[in-house]
Amino acid sequence: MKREFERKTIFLYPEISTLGYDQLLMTNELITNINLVVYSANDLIKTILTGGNFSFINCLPTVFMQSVCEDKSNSDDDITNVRICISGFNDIDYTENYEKIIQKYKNETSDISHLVAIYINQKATRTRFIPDPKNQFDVIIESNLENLENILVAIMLDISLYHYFLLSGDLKKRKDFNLYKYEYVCSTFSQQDQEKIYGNQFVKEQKLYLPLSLKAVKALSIRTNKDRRTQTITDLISEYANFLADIVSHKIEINESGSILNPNQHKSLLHYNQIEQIIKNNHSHNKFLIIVPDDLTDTNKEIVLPYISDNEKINPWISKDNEDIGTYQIILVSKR
Amino acid sequence: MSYIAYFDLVGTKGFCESPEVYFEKMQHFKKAIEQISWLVREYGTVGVFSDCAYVESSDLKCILDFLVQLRDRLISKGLFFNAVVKSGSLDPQDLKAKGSQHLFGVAFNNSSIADLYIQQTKFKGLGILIDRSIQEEVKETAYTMTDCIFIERRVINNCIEYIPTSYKDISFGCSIKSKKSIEILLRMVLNVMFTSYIKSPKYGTYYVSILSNLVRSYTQGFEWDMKKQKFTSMPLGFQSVNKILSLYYDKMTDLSGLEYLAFVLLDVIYNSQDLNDEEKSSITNSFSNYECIKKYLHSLNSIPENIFTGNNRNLFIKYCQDDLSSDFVEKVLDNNQ
Repeated sequence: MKREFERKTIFLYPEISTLGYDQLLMTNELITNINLVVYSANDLIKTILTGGNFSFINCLPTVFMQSVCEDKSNSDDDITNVRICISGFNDIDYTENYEKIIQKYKNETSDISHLVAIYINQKATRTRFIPDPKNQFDVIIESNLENLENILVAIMLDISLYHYFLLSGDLKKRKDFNLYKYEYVCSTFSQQDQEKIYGNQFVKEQKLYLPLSLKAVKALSIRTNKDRRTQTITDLISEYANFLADIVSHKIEINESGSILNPNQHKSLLHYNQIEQIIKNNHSHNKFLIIVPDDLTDTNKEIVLPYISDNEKINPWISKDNEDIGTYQIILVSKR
Repeated sequence: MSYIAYFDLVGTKGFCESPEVYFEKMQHFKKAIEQISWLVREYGTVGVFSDCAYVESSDLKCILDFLVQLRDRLISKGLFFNAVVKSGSLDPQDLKAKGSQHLFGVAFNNSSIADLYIQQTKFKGLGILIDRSIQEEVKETAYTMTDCIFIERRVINNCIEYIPTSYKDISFGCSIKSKKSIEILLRMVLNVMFTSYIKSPKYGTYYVSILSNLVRSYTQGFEWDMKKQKFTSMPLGFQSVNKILSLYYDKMTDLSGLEYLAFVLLDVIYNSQDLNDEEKSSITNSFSNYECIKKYLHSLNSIPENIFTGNNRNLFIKYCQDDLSSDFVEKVLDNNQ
């Protein structure tokens, strides 16, 4: 089942009647340029997702760009569920226009797991992910218009991959997931990579929203060879799957004979008894992954993968499935 | 003195096939005009009816700013207009102002509207046609004009003929400058052009004008490899049209007027400061293999002067004569053949 997800990007510009002629020209030019970038980003997202690397697509996200005059009380524009806000352009700060959106997000009255500010700075030579000093947004992304497309595509691919791996729709879990992504970047990306991709070196304490797909999207933007582009997208899916195996898997510890330690903590797992048996059968490995479909049957069996460090560990599972893999649990089993 | 413009959205009939698409496109059109019309607030007015609009401004820069920004905004939403701007007055009259509740609309009390309207309906292109009456004044603004063509359909001796007509438009280079935006703009235009062409070659013909403007708008960055006889660098607009002509011309022969773009390309080459005479001659040689160029080798007079200027026309003839005649003599006298 393919669902289309719109992710709203909004540019709330100030009351037009208060703008001088030059400001008006600049504001209108900015809206046009963002529209062009959004068009291109949507095109690229579709190309990536339908290019054959994804064995199935259950989420085709699109950026829905709205530019709304801040004083339009009678407007038809629906500015709820906004995820991405254009918070500034060069020397102009539009942040105060977003107060209502920020308030709603902070009060958790909207179904939003992240609120991102994009500060378009034409003087910025590289993209930077920086913490919001006012703590209103989950991140402020400083970028020029040339790099804006990569950022939007990366955010959308993260959403698509989240749904590709059929993760929970629960708001709390989605919020936690963003934190996991941050931790993953901090712990697995080299400082050089962090700097290269996000323009910043991060500390675990200061958590930001980071799109994991940005690394691959940046690589993709400079690749013209078809095979290399295909490989980059495959790498992106692998990276995500690795991340899932590391971060969001349910962790179980066992003893030498394959018995689960602290079993009461794990009894809420679906098919617990079968999982216990699978672990017994495979306890010769020191560390292994089990992917258990929710509808575990004789034909739809569990998949057991030895835990190999780095990139290879989960790829066999991805390439195995050419159809919808259904919902599942990932369990990382390790011997104490 | 005042300046007036009239435009309508191109392709509205096509949108009507789907009420949702029609509604969405009209919303974009309405919203774009609402946002951008503030530019003329001090010097004029804008009147909108359905998919068309009239503008009047006592300031030329304002009306041009409005038209250029609206053109770019509409393109960013996959929409195109054809506008004509000239000197004149509209003297609009709001019919509702008379106090009648059953009537709404605008009437114009100035005869210059007639010329404007006729000119606009004859303009079978996409963009902003700058009327002769104001071309000298436009040169004094920050805007650059480009020599473009649109294709007119005429019935001559019971036969339909497609006649190229030259006009002046406003360069995209004045407003769309970043490489990324130019690239997206081109992708957008080519995408909508091809979709329209698939629907009907007649619709595709409208895009000859915008392609000619895109080629003329970005003319920096040519590099020609004499040994390999190919470009190592060229502006994106030029590159795209060149590819259409070299790869798709024989598949799109029913898109009337496409061939004239080859002469726009040559004109840009001959005017380029990036290339020397030897390189220009070499490029002409490679272009002379294009079917669309061969077709006009003996009838250059049918190409409008503004599209392929007199000097460049003579250069073309000279390069072709040098090249083709030496090739002819060599082949005829070659004992091995």
